[in-house]
Order: sequence, then C-alpha cells, then structure tokens
Amino acid sequence: MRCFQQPPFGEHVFLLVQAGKFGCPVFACLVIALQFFLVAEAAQAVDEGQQIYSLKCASCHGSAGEGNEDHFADPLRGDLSLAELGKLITETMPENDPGKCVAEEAQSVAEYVFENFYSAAAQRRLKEARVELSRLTVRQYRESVADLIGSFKDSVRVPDARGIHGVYFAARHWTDKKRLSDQTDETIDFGEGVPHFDPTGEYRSIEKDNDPNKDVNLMNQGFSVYWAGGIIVPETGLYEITVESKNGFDLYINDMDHPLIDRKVRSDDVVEHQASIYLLGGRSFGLKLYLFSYPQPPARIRLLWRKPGGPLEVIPATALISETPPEVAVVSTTFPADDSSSGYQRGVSVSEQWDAAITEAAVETANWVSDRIWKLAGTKEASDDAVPRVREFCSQFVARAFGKQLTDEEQYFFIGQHFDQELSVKDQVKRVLILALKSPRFLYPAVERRSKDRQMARRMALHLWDSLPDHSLLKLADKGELSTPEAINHELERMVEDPRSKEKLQSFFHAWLKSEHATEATKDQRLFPEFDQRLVSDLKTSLELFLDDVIWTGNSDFRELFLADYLYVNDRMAKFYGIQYGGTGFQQVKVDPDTRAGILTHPFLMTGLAYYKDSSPIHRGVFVAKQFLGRRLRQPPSNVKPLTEEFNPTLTTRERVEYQTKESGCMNCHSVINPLGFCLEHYDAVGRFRTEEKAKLIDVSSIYETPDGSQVELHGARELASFLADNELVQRNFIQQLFNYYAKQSVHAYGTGQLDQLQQRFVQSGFSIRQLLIDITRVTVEFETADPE
Amino acid sequence: MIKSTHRREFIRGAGAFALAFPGLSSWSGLSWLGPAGDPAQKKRLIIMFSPNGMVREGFWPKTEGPDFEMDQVLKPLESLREKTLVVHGICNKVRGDGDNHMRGMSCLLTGNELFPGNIQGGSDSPAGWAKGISIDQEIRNYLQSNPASRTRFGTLEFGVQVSNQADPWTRMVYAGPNQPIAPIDDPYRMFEKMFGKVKDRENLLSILDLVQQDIESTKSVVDARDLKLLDSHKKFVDKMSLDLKNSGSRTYAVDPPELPRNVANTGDNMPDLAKMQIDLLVNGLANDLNRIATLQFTKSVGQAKMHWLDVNEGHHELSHDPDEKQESQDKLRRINTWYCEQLAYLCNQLGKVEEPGTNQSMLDNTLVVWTNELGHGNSHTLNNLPMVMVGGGFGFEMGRFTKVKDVSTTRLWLAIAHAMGHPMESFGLAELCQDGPVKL
Repeated sequence: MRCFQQPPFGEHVFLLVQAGKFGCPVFACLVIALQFFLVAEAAQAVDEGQQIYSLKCASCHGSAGEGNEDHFADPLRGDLSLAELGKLITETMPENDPGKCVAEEAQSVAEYVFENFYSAAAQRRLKEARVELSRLTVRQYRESVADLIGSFKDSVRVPDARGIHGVYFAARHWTDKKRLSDQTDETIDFGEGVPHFDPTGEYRSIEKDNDPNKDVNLMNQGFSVYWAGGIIVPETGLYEITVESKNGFDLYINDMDHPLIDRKVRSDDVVEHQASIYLLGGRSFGLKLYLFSYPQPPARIRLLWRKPGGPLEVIPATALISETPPEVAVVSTTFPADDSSSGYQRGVSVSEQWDAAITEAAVETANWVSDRIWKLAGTKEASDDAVPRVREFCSQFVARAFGKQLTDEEQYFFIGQHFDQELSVKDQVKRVLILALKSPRFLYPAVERRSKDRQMARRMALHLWDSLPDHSLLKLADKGELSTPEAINHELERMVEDPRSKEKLQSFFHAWLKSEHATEATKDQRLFPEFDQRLVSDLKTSLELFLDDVIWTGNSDFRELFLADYLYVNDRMAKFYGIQYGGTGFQQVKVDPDTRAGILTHPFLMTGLAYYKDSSPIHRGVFVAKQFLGRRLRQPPSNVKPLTEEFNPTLTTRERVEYQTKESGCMNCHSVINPLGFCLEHYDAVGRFRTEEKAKLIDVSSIYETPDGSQVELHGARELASFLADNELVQRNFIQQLFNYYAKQSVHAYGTGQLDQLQQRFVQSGFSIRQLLIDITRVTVEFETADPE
Repeated sequence: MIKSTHRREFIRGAGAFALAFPGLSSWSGLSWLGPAGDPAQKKRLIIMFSPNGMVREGFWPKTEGPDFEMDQVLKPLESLREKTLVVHGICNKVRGDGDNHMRGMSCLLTGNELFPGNIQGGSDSPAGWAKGISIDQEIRNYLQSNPASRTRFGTLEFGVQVSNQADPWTRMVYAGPNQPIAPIDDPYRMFEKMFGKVKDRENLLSILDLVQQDIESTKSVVDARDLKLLDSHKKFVDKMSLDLKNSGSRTYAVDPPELPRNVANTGDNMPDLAKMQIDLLVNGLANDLNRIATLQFTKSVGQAKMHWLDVNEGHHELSHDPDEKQESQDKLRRINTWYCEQLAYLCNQLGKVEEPGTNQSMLDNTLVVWTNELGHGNSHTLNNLPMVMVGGGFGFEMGRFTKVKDVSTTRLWLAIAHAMGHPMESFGLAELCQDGPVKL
C-alpha cells in the first residue's frame, strides 16, 4: 500500500505516501484527450488483441477497460497515440512482470484497447453522443425571467458616457430657485466634502436666484443633492452596497419605489450603511441617491460596493451612467447548483430540490408581477379596460415564455380558464404565471413545437444570451427574414455585441482560465506585504480589460491571447510589478516581450497557480496541459503533500518538484506537467517576473512530449506562448470548450465532422473569436432546425 | 416530505421581490396552527396608541378603587368595568435630545433616549431614533426564545392612518437601537403578510394538476430517450401536489376575516380601516400567529380630521387649544371617546373568542394597554400619561382606578414583563428602573 523511501538528503525523513494503485505505472495514467487518433486497420490484429486482453488484462482492467475495484479502479481511457500506447504496454505490462507483453503482441493489445474503449472516439461511440433534452440552467432561468418581464417595458439604451447625473441645491429639498448646479459626477466619492457645499453657509451668487438680497444661508435652508442614473453590473451575484455618510440620505437600486437604504433620519453618528442586493451581470440597474444636510453638518458621502468576492471600493465611473434603466425582475430564490460534471453547466438532470426552487421562483415572480400588474399591462386599476388589458398581458406573457403563438386550446388552458374563475384579478394573474413558469414549455427550450423561424430565434438567444429572443429578433423571425445564412449571420453579429453576450463570454473565460484560483488567493504578507484583496481585484480587472481588448476590438485574434506583449495596468499594479506607468486608472502598457506573454503570464493567472509563498510548476503545468492543450490527466494521488522549502532550503522550486516526481509512477503524468510548468518559473507566487531563485539562475528550458510522441524544446514563457498560439490542439480544445459552454451539450452530438469544420473556419477567419462564437451558434441553430430527414 | 434544505437568504430589495419566502417547507410542511400546549398558559399583550395627549375633564376618574367613575371618554368600556384598570401617575421620564412629541413617541415603549440626529422639532435639539428596544419586542423575543410560546410572527404591528413618513414621531416600536419598526397601516397589506402565503399555496395547489397534464402533453414531442427526464420531473410535481393536499387539513383555527373590498387608505375611511385592522388583529391572535400586537392610531402630532364626529379640525391642532376653550375640549373628548370605542370593540371581539379547551375567552388571557405619548395636549407634558389596561390582568387587580406617584413608564413595562412571565431585572434606562416593577 505505501512505499517508504530513505531520504537522500540530510536527516529529514521523506515519506512519500502513495495510493497502492499509483505505484503501478499503468497506461491509464494519461487519460482521454482529443480527437486525433489513428484508425487501426488490421481487424486480425484486433481479434488477436482481444484474445490476449481477455486472457491477460481483463482480470485487472475489466472486460471493457472499465476497471476493477480490487486491482485497478481507473478506467482505461486516455489521449496517448496508438504507438505511444503500445510502447507503454511493452514497457510496463503486466505489472508484476514487465517485459512479457512486447512487440506484436503488445501492439495488437494496444490496437484492441485503443479501438474499443481507450480512445476518445471509442468513448464517444460507446456513449452515443446526442443532443440531450435539457432544462434551463439556473443562469438561463434568471436571465429568461428578467428578459421576459423586461419585454413589457421600454428598454433604455445604455449611454456611452459614464458618470452619474447630480443636481445640487442650497435647500433641503428640490427647490428650483435654489439650484446650485446640474452636473455629471464621475463617482460619488466625496469623503472630504460634497461639491458646492459651503460649510460657512453663505452663498452669494446663485444664478437662478434673481433676488440679489436673498442670500441663501445653509444654516437655515439646508443643502441637498439628487443623483440619478444607473449602474452597470459586471457580473452576476450578490453585491454589498455601502454608503458612507453621517448625513441624511436615501439610496435606491433597481426598485425606484422602495429605498435599499433609508437613512433620511440621521440617528447617531453611524457612518457606514450597508445593504446587499442580487444583481445580474451584463445589465444596468437604476440608481438614485438623495443626500441632504440639515441642520448644518458637513455634507460628505461616498458610495461603494463590494462585487461578488471583491474588495470594498468606490463604485467606479466605468460602472455609472446618467440614464435610469427600467426595473429588472431579479429572481432571488436560491437554486441547487447545476450539473457541471462535464466541465460546463448544463440542465440534464432534475431533482426534488430543483422542482421546489422552480416553484418558489415561479411564485416569487408571479407576486412580483402582480404587485406591478397595472403598470405592466399598461392600464390603471380603476380603468374600464383594466381586466381585458391584464388578460391580454397574460396571453402575451405566456406566448413570450413559450416562444410561440398560442393555439385556442392553449389559450384556454393557460389563460382563459383562470380568468373564468371567481378570483381577484391579481390571483388570476398569479395562477396564469405560476402555471406558465412551471410549464415544461418554458423550462425545456426544446420541448415546444415552434415554427422553424421561432425555433431558430429561441436557440440563438439561448445560445448567446442564455435568455429569450428580444423584440427585434422575433420580428425578423416572424417576417421570415432568418431564411438565409447571410441574414442569420447579420443578426448574430448584432447579438454578439449585446452586453449580455459579452458578459457570457467573459464568464466563459473566467471558467476556462480558472479565475477562482486567483480570486481566492492569499499570500504570505511578510514576503508580499502589498499584496491584498484590492490588488487581486485590480489583477482581475486587468485581465478582463485585456480580454475585452483582444476579443472586442480589431481582429479578435485568438493567438493574441498568448502572444500579446502588453498589459493593462493601474497605479497600484504598476508599483507592485515594477512596470513603467503614467496617467490615471487602467492603461494599456507595452512590456518587454521576453517578460510577459498574454494570458499565459498574466499575473492574475500566475498568482492563482501558485502557493502561499512559492510558485507552483505543477499547478501551472496541469493548467496549461488541461485548459490549453486539452490533455486529460489522471487525478493526482490525494495524499501526496508537496515538498516545502524546509525539506531542503538549498533547492529551487524546480529542483524540489523534479526530486519529488522522479519516480516512474509519477512521471507518467509529470512528464507532461513538469516541462510546461517549468517554462513559467520566471513568475513567482504573485506573478512577478524574476530571473533568480535562491541566488541561482532559474532554468526555464524543458522538453515537452506531445501526445503523438514528438518532442518540443521549449525555453521560457515566450516560447511556450508561441507554441500554444500556433498549436492546432490548443485551438481545437478552445473551440470545443467554448462550444460546450455555450451549447451546454457535447460538440460531438452535432455530427462527427463538426469540430473539424469549425476548426477549418476558425483558421479561415484568422482565428477570430467573435466569428467562432457566431459559427458555433449557427451549428446549434442549424442542427435544431434541420428537417428530421 | 420536502425538506427545508435551503432557507432563502432574505436579500433586501433584491429585484424588489419584497416578500421573502421562508423556504420549501412553507409549501407543505408548515404548521399554520401554533404550537400545541396548554391554552390556559397563553399570555398575550396588545398595546394601543392614540396621540396628542388626553383631556383632563371627561377622562380621569375622581374616585380611586372599584367604584371609579366612567365618564364620557371611558363610557364605552362600561360593560368591561370588571376587567379594566385605570392608572394615574405613570410618567415618561426620558430626557435628552428631541422635543416632547418625539420623545413622547419614540421613548414611550423603549424607555430609552434618542440618538443625536437630524430631526428637529420646535427649538429642541435635533434627534434621531431611539437607543433601545421597545417593551413589546422585548417580550416578543422572550416568548419566541421558548418553543412552547413561539409563534410564526411573534408580534404584528398594526397602524391606522400612520402616514408615510418615517421619523421619531411616527415610530414607537423598536427592534433594537436605531431599528424602528414601521407599523402596517394598510389592512390589505397586513392581510397579505398574515395570509398571503396561504393564498400562494392555494394558487399553487390549484395549478399543479394542470402542470401534470401539461407535462404529459409535451411528452409526444420528446425523443424517447429523454422521457426519463420528463418522467422524473413529473414525479416531483406529483409529490408536491400530494404533499400539499395531505397538508390541506392543517388550516387555520379561525378563518381569515373577509375584508370589505376597495377601502382606500384615506383619512375619511378611518372608522372602516380601524375595524378591519382590529378584526385582523384579533384573528391573528386567535390563530396564534403572534402573541404580541401593537395598534397605532395615526402618529404623534397626528392630524386626524374626524368628520364623522363633526370634528373638522385636525386633532393635533385642537390639542393645543387651552383647557378653557370648551368647544375644543368637547371635540377632544369626542375624539378620545372614539378611540375608546375602538378599544372597547377590540376587547369585546377578544371576549367573543373562546380559548379552546377552557371556559375562558381570549380576553381573559390578554392584557390590552391603551396609552398616549403625552399626558396632556396643550402643555405637552410627559407626566401622568393616560394608562388604561383591560383584560384578565395576569396578577394585576383589575376593575378599579388607582393612582401612583410619579412612576417611570419603564417600571410599568417591567411590571408587565413580569406579569407576562418574563422576569427581567431592568428595562430601558437603568436609572429609571431602580425601584423595580411598579406595584399597582
């Protein structure tokens, strides 16, 4: 079970604890990867292989390579080429007596195993990849409800200008004659005093006040500011909003009728006032803040937020606008997490908890709507046409939820029968809505029979926005204007630029780049005293700005993600990373291409892929192998602790890793991991560039072996970046991951050649990420709307 | 059974979904009946407030003891004389920031000072909210801490024509320092709070069969291999439907009151609004949704114009008139008589509810306290606040008029806390509570 080794250095007892099966160097160590494979031709060899396998291998590995609890539990799946597989068998099998299965015998076993269950292609055949019926994911549910209700409101175009509109008065309330100023404020960050507020209380010139003798004295009149506009929310989650002020104020977010924080009565000298609110990313929400100063304390106020997982910071100008968007219906019911066992969230399973959450959310939404029903239905309670209007609203609501025109029968089932009952109008509305929102026609986008055009529209919106089609998309669909590829492309180009699409793509990148590692990172404060949560938040912003820049400007060239020689940096980052910087806020700064290479060396990633004090070539290597190269690695033995510096203080990180992973059992995976990780050793635990460790020059050269057995010499991050940028596997893996994330189905379910075709088009488009997104959408749209024949 | 696995975090203002849903269990498992237990042990407290001080003539009895006079204002309580205790000499002794109306209101039930703030009345120094919890909430927390006396809400705060303003003149109930609780003065909103969940449940139950049909009807569109997913979905819907039906027998002890429709929340409708609120209040207690309630008529400085009593001036305005102005005194007596009628209606309604398993009425197990933020209107005194207690008494000797001398409100609240079974040592400002609970 365990193997103990005598330590070669000093007096430390080195205990390398391994799972028993890990000691056996089996080819299952390297597991599934990608789609390139050799087709074994010799049926005869396979027959022979099958015989040998059943006789000599199946007792440990299972008759179909599924594994065996007692001997070798991991299934035989992997990404080695057929040749590499044969080599491994020759060298390591059988476990107790390697060398007994060699040459042609080994080769025929390899062919059998490869063809029947080892290779990715074989696994796909076994699993019969197909587009499975899926329900809305949690994210899709929230987005759909918000847009469904939003479709009954006028939309407001988010203005390009940033900052919030403020109107200042030398009076406690809005008093036109006492107006001091009408202006746009970049932020509400007036800890030292609000503009125009004069603590002496004497105002001698107010333009609008015509009476020269009538000075406004703040002691008597008070002072007030009305800020109105909106906030742009970067990501979905719970936001903590803080207002710092001793003055009286009222803060409204989203709901403009009920204050989020009501502090009109100042009481005690409490300065910080906090409330939390769940907001959806890629959308803007109304914001209103009324500040008044009375009798005469200094008027000071700061408006801050804590984004999900972020630090407390003043809400930046980039998030503030002067237009007030309509209220968004945000479902705040807690849902159980979606299945993400395939690496992306999808709705292929239901549970009792999910059904309960869906019910609760339906009731929540129905109540939300019924509270606002007159306005949503465009009528007034007392109006003669109130009931017919509400009924019409209900018909529209159901039709939009299902994405189709209702038949008469459906009209009665979903709406009519509820209005026939002796109930208050609000209860009638609630019943209609709860039924619609609990209907499989809403919850499973593929369940409803829609016209082909409507089905296309539904899929396009679901794919790019995780939501329902908007008015203009539906209009195209209903006019039959989605009939040509050009027309579809044209519409998709519009949709891809929508803030919801940008937010979705950003969340894909955070998932792909494993941002959660960095967001949660804490570092040794003695070694890195300036490394704090604010810096982590800056790093995240820096990465997002970089991604936005690559994706949404210029050619959207995928390769730039690796090759770019610039970073977005603000003052704090520049100081910490020793980067030349001038100006304010985030600036694009060119860096020495030998020290940085796009996302690969971005300090946000490097920080996340590192330990408390040290870098981690293993984390980095695994990350590059899995996320970029698409290699699947076996789970590491969980009870192996990384050697710390104390093990031998003279060793560099690389030397320690090399020492600890030198066993052949380790090297099955680490021969892939280590060379990739070592290339990034120039970046310390917080992603700073360095050339030395322990007074030794850092060695960043290595040899990486590709799945087909060829060797690539790499020296440092820049060379690794070039290798990755031009690597077809990396591109292919990116396409696949993006596809899965968007379609929430495996790409293989859409036909065998699909990935190849997408890759061809990717190359033709000059590796345009934007175009890829459109192409991927078209694949799913065309697949779903193809004639059954 | 559906388990209450996730209790939703209440997100204030989140998308303005103002109604918090207390989780799954509420759909089927929630017991609408209160905790079981000996009904004789139930103790309830209602504090009713009316504003702007009390008239001297026509309210205060002249004779101490059981043979006290029930003059014009107290007349409506005549039939409840045996259960009534009128106390003279209770004083709000809290000083500090804020004018007398503000302190009268916000310090009345808290026995605590106001924080410095930005609300100014008259020439007194500006103030904010009270620094402490109010007695009703204190006793509520005590009852809620014990499973035997825990109820769904603990307290309900009723209002009648309170106004939309939030300031120390409009709030007497505090959950803690700086935490005023707004009374709900719209009976329909109160109904929603008390019974909305039941309506939701009814609505939900009414459509679950349809959801089942709907799922069945969509099966034909689905690939045979995907039917499993829809089947298991349907299974959960079936189960919820069954759970809800099975729990259907657990309804209220007393049906929710039928409220008249379309009564607008305006001053002229005050009599209707008051009746609706009192009916809801009594119903809540009968269903054991809460053991404590407050009923706040208007607010300190409230300007109710009681046209139905032929009083066209605002109440506060009238209360400033000197005692010599008989016409105003007469109107003030009519106003306060009307308030006493509301108290009598409340008590009589309580008296009509049988306490299950006993030969007592709910009134026997309730203490109703009617008070005011001022002793007398035109002098704005905080001394000798009108105190009328009605009910079973919980150890207080009822059926009399008694005078105490210059006793702090906090000592009365302490005595009531003790009577309610909460033997706390001190309440509000400690220095005002040094002599312990008042002996009446």
